[in-house]
Amino acid sequence: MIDLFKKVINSYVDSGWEISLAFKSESIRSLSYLNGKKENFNKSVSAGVMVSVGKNGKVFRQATPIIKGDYLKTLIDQGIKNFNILEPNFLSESSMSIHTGEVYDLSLEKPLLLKSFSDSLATSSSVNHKWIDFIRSSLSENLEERIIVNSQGGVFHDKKYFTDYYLDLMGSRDQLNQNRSNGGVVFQGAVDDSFLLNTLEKKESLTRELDLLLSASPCPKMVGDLLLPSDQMYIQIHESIGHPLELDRISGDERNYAGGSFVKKDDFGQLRYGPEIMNVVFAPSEKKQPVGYEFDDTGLKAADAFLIKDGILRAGIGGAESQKRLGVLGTSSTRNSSWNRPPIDRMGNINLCAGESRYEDMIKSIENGVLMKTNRSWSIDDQRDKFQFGCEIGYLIKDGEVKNVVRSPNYEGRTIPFWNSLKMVGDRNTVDDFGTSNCGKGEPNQAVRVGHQSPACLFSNISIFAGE
Amino acid sequence: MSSINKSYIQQLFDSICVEKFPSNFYFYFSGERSRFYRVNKSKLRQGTFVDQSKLTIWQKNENDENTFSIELIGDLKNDVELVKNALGDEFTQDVKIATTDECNIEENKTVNVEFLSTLIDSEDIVGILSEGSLQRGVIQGGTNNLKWFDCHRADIDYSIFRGDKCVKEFYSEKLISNEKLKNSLSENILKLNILSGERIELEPGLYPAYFSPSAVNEILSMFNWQGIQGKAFAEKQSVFMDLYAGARKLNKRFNLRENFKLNLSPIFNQEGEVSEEIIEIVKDGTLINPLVNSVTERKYGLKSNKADQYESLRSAELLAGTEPEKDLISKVRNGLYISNLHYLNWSSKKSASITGMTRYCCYFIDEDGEKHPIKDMRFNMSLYDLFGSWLQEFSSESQIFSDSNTYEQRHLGGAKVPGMLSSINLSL
Repeated sequence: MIDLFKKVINSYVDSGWEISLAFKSESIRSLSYLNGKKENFNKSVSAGVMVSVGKNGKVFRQATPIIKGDYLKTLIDQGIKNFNILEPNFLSESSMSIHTGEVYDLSLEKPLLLKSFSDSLATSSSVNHKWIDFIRSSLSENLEERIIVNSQGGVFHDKKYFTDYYLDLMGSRDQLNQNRSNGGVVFQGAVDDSFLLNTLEKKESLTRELDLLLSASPCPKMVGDLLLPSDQMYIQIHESIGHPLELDRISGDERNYAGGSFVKKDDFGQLRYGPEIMNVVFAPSEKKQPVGYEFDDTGLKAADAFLIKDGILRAGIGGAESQKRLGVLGTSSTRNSSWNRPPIDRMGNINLCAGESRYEDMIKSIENGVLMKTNRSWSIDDQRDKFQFGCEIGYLIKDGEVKNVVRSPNYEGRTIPFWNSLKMVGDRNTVDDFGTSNCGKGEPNQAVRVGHQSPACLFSNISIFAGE
Repeated sequence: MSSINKSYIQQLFDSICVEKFPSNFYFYFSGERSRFYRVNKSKLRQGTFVDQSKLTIWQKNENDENTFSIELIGDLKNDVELVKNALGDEFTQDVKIATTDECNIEENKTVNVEFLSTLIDSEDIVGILSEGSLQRGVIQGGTNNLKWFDCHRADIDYSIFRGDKCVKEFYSEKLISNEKLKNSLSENILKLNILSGERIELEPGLYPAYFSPSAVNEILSMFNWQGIQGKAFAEKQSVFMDLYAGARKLNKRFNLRENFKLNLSPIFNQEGEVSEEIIEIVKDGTLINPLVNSVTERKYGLKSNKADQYESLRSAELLAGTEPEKDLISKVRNGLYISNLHYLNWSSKKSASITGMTRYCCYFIDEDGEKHPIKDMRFNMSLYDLFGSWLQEFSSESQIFSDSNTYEQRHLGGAKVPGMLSSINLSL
């Protein structure tokens, strides 16, 4: 396909047009078990090419599933025609992101066959207590291939393999229904035996907690300390650091859909986002996380970068195009959800760096507070300021000791005061990886995979309550 | 553009001999030719044309289901091969990506530059125009009865900003009318004038509030998320378990139904089952029919009413009330006009409580009827209150909203919704 793309583009070599052909394919297989029995199996393949034609920093795009040299040329010719008609109407500050160089990342380990995990999915979803109504266990594997060839001599080709795993236990007792889940995990690479062993251990601990939840009282209303492990920290990072730092939001592109941002251009290098113990990085080098890669969907070479260093905002999230528009530092993360959508500024692996506090010491330091685990409800305003999150389970903490379980714990806050109330950052032993495969944004809409690694964190003076 | 249309799909189904397949196989097609014009600061930010044609083959077994999806390219030989590969060994065989010489290809239409010239340079307009054709088709194995739906739709979805103040508009039509767009822009620029003055900060608490049809539609969309689905009730995951059990009721003014006469979506589902034209869901505040499909019927014994794959509202109608909107708004004193809501989520499933934010053109109406734009506020409230004891009246006018979502593909469906006089509980 690379040769076909080069041949097509070569016919325009002296035309002065910037042309890019970006192929993307996704082959997904997913298998779901409910209460020990197969529920459904899905297999899908979607593949196509985005044909981009540009000049003077502007671009017009056409997406097609038809991969044929003559037809791609027809689309390029039509693209040129349409571009010329549209040119006076383009936003002056936008620019096409086109990169030179050749990058190949094809060191993909051989994917395992989903079939061999049927027994494990059956075991992990089997119900073994009368107060558990349903257990759903589902595994999804996704092979993605990207090929970008452009008129500036750029060639970029990689293959990636992603796994999603979800385990959800649903129980009821005395008219009370509760859920306890693994929160959903997504990572790069195939599932191995240790993962499945961990899953069975996870099922045991989730079962114990579900039992406690079904006899628990609602979380009391208080202003107190809040201890969040990584399965809630990931969404706190996602919503109140990731999204507000997206440069296209700051440039106003998203104001009609996802929203703007309280962060302004002049805040970079200045804004105290949190205390000195707060460090946040963009980490494409973390190859086990969902967005570990060598280049983004425009071919921009990936490099790790600090977004927040010692509590001060350093850089935003956005590729070459946005960095030029705003004149600020960014990241190599202009990405699209599939071959049929234009690449836009997206999060990659956005991680909060580990600190030095031992988990035991964090608990010991709490006089009055709540430990909240596993996100189940999330909401934040269109400028990414006022938020409210709910978790599956809470544990009251009094005088340095973990006490009883409470149900429906929620907390609310405002982004900058909240992060500045960060009191302790957990050490490496408290770090875990989470993320989502459905981060929505863009017009037309796009849902992409993002990753967040975080230690446990302790916040003080937080408004806590039950969501019922 | 590929020329995949009804006759091509019929030809494809004939070629793969759908008539010889067992009756537990369903072949569901969804295609679109779309033109997306994304706008920022009244100028074109991104122009993207998309051509896509997806075939999903659904195999319903006695105890489970399998689905296989592929991207068709419009070359019969190739597409037949793709279908055969897709149906191969379900666990081991990869679907091949086609490169072909035989596609039937139509000329791409040129761009809609008139639409862009209609936008007013001196205003800060941001949003998207999505236009083009949409097709859906389905056939059951063992039959030759192809059910087909196609339409041409233009969705105009924009906001006009002046500093931190904004009005939002969304409407759909068959083909975009630049005259209508001009009028819509003028009307909304007038609305922006209402928002002059500083945004005021409100104290948390309970306020009387008029919710615009757009805000009501946003809340109604939550009914599709562990709300009125048969599966959600059977698995005890619905927020309306108490409503389902008859232990709680909504206000008797609350009447919700599926009304396929609105012609917003195909009346058939992914199995080709044709729904009744009207399905009463909530009548006089009582839940009478959850949306149930054949999978839920098989698994949990609820009676199917031929709902779609996700048991979601496809052509919802929340019945209008008797008083005009302007009369309802004039009753609000020391309360709010809610134009739009943002980022709703369930804060408690037990009490059907939502949290979310006010957005865009919301304002406070003081005791003299003066309007003051507000800083956006978070709210928390139970739908049993909002659509229950707090609900005073729905407006006599309704608005129709197409489903403007474009995740993976342009969505079909929509809802007809009135405005509502009720209250809002602001929390932060």
